[in-house]
Amino acid sequence: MTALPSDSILMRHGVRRGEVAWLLLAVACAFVFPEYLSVGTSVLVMVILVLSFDLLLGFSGVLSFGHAIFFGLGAYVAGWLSLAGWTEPISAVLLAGLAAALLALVLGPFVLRLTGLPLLMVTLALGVLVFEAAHKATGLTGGDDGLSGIRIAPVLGVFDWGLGGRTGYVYVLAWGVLIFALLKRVVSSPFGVALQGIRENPGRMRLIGNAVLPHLVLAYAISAAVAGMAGALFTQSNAFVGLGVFALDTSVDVLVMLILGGIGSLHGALIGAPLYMLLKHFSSQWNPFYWMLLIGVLLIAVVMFGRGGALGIARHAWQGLRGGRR
Amino acid sequence: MKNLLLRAAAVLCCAGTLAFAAPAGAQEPIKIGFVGPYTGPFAVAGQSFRQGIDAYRAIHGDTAGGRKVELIYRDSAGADPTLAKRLAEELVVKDKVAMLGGFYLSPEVAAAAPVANAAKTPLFIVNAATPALMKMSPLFLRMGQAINQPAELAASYARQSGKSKGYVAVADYGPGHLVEQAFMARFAGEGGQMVGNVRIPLNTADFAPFAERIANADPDVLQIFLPPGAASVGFSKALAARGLTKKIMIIGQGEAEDSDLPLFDDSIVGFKSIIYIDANATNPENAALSDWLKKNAGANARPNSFNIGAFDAMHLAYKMLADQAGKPFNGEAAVKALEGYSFKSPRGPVTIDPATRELVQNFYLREVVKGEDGVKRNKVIKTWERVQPVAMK
Amino acid sequence: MSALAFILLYGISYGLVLCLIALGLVITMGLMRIVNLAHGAFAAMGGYLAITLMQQQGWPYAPAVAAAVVGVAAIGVLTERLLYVRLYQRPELDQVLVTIGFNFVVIGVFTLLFGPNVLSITLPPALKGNVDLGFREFEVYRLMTAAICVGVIGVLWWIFERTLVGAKLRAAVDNRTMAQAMGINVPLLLSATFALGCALAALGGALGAPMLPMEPMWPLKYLVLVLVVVALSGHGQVRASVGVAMIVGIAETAGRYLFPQFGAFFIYLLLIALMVWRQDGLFVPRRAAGVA
Repeated sequence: MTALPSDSILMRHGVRRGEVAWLLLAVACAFVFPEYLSVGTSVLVMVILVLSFDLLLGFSGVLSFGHAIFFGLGAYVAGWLSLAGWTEPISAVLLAGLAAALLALVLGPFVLRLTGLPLLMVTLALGVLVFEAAHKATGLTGGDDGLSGIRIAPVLGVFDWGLGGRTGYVYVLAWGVLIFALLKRVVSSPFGVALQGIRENPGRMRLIGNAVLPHLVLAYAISAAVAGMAGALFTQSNAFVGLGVFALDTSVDVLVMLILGGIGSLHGALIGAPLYMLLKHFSSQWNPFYWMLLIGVLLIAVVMFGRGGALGIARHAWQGLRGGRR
Repeated sequence: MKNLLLRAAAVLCCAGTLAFAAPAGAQEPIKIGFVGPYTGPFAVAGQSFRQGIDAYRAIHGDTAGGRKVELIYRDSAGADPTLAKRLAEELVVKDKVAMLGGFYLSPEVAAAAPVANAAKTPLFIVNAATPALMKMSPLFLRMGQAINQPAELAASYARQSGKSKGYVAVADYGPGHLVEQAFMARFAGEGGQMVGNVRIPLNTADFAPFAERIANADPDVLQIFLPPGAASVGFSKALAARGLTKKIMIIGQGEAEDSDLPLFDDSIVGFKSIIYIDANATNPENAALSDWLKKNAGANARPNSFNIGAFDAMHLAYKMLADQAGKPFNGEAAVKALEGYSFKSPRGPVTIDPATRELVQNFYLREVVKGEDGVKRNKVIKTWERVQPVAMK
Repeated sequence: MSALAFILLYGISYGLVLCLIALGLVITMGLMRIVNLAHGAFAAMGGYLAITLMQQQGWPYAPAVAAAVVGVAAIGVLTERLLYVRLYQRPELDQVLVTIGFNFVVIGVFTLLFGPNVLSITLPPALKGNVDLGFREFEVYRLMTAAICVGVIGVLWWIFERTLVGAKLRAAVDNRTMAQAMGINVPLLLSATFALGCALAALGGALGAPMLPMEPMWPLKYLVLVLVVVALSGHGQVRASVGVAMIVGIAETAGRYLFPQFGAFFIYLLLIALMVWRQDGLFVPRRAAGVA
């Protein structure tokens, strides 16, 4: 029997070497760079958010500029729970994910009928609307000042949240591993394959009897749930949540991170988020006006010359070294 | 015998190193972390922070209490309170700073409060003006003002000048809402009638609709509060186009500081503002700062709330270190010791109010005038001396 | 009554500037079938170029604006030949990403050249001040801008409806392959159209600079507004976009005047509702339900 090509869908079951290597690297960073743990935690939160967006854009082909809605909702739900006295972190994350999924189930049937430019515009408009509404509702969101005074109970009752962020880092990393494993199951299931079919050719999918809208709405809900969980983790690791979680910048950043990493394989999120955050960190030392320039050039270059993002470039280089595809 | 000698030598070596280590510890440089918007839309403020700090060190040297003072700057770009918190955390954990300062926006201060509390570092708030901030940490010291103070003074002044129909137009964010509340409460409380109020969204480009609303309400005094820069310039233009700058008294706060006046056209002449600094004051401290700025920050650099705030923060930092010379630095004790401390700031004489850890300071009413040289400046026409900050509720 | 007068006068003058910018995009998107999110960048280029010529080179207002328009049209042609020509066959996602990337590059260049803050334009004395219309005063500058916009739109209409070039353009919009088969030089037409689109954007940006001040983030800040007009107009529908721009201008001004607290709320709500209800554009007959 011929060996399956490495990017075949059926090969997605099981753990790949690259994924294990990434996990080991993440754990090692906690020991090698103990003063950078809070930066590391925010990178991990972004990884989870970008994973959720990959499900939506990479696998289902839905280009949404309003993904921050779900991230922000999850973040504020976690904040409200804490301020109301519910300080247990794990259940708060799950509740935040649930809230975001419910919102997606409400919006999805209307929004997902559209494609292309109209979809882009409506999701953009929704994102901005939610931001404005959150800004107005100072009673709920604290307005510009955000929600502060958030206390989180120790994880599993044992691990305290101290200065320095070690608990936060390990906690978010654990969530990341769990979510990644779950998403892998989703994309390699028949449902996941159907999504990719819809992305490629919705017309044909209808013709062979797959209803497009229910699939997309479910994908939207799962993606929203994960984004909401990322939002809750954001709030918990910062003990603070502000309006920036709903900002258009967040939605655009997620898109850029995914493209830079490589779209459509879940691994892109693992590469793209750290790459982007690292670039941002270093470029802030030089003239910051170059930041936009750099991102713009990278975006154009990645799309024009190498659609696979950093992952695609790495893959080509690897195959080139091995002497062509086997 | 040899064994005994070797061991004695080892003990002597250890004792020797310890003897050197103890005083070396006390002479270690002390680090202060300053988080600010050194880039991005508020870069002018961040750069002013640095100017104030550099000026102080140029005039007073870089040692205090026998220790060398090192400044570490971190850029928050004024974008994200969670970034400010992360930077504060890094400064405390990685760079081991003994004091924090800066934090341009109120949410950034709020986000950094848990860090200051956990690490017990004093934090100098240079300009953030939300009253509720002082409740978040006993280690905060505010160099600026509480935002309601100038609004209340403006309301009283307007009533004393015979104005009876008030209108307030503020930018639609936290500080703006507080100004609105404070002005309306004081103006009505002193017998005036509020004919309207409007909140202007932050990203507004075209202010004509707002100028129209104000004109239609027919007030005789208008209190405004907008971020300095494009918004203030745009709003002022719209008011002038609607004929309001000639008809009514307009009072603001920091919209038309001397450093920004070149951006406005002559319709700004007559604009009144109330703030706690006077860029043209002639006291020795302000003269020294002003001279340094002219020589090192460009001919147009003037004292403003940011560089004066940072300047005074350095003064307090040096005082804390001098008070604790020879001992390891204790942040909580340092803050406590400063309660009631009076000193001379470029803005005038100030005292740290023990109840609120804010400054008891003068407030100045200025009016924009155009000199014979054609240059516009803010001229002080009234001074309220030693205004007590509002006690925390 | 005076409220209505204000809303109409200011709303229409604002809408006309929007219309100018949006028209450029309607034409390019309609003909080139490319999602061009970088259109705002060309408008901002027009504004910045005009201000630079006035402030640094000391040019008077009218020549500066004219030169800015020509300059940006040239930059447009260059960009089209170098960048956009590679995007025609690409999927929509790629077009969105590359044009956003181009936006970022332009914003970065603006920040580098002009700093992060707003750049004010000083109008010539002839355009400052108000004119008395009898029932109220109105800014001279707005009146002039509105007049120029109406003039330009009129000229455009005449070109499209009454000349051979216009007919060719409309043919290429409706059916590009057929037009090419009929011997129309489509690549040349594409470049020329893109240049026209950029020129319109630049004119809108330069004329609108007092209303919509120049800052590096300009392309992204007003992108949504322009896209609203384009999306609601439908592909290549020039007449519809004039109507839509008026509606958007008036709605925005009315919203800001009557409900200032809500800012952009209403316009976005309106957009969402209209897009979900009438996907193809406000004045275009609805597609039959079914497969895309």
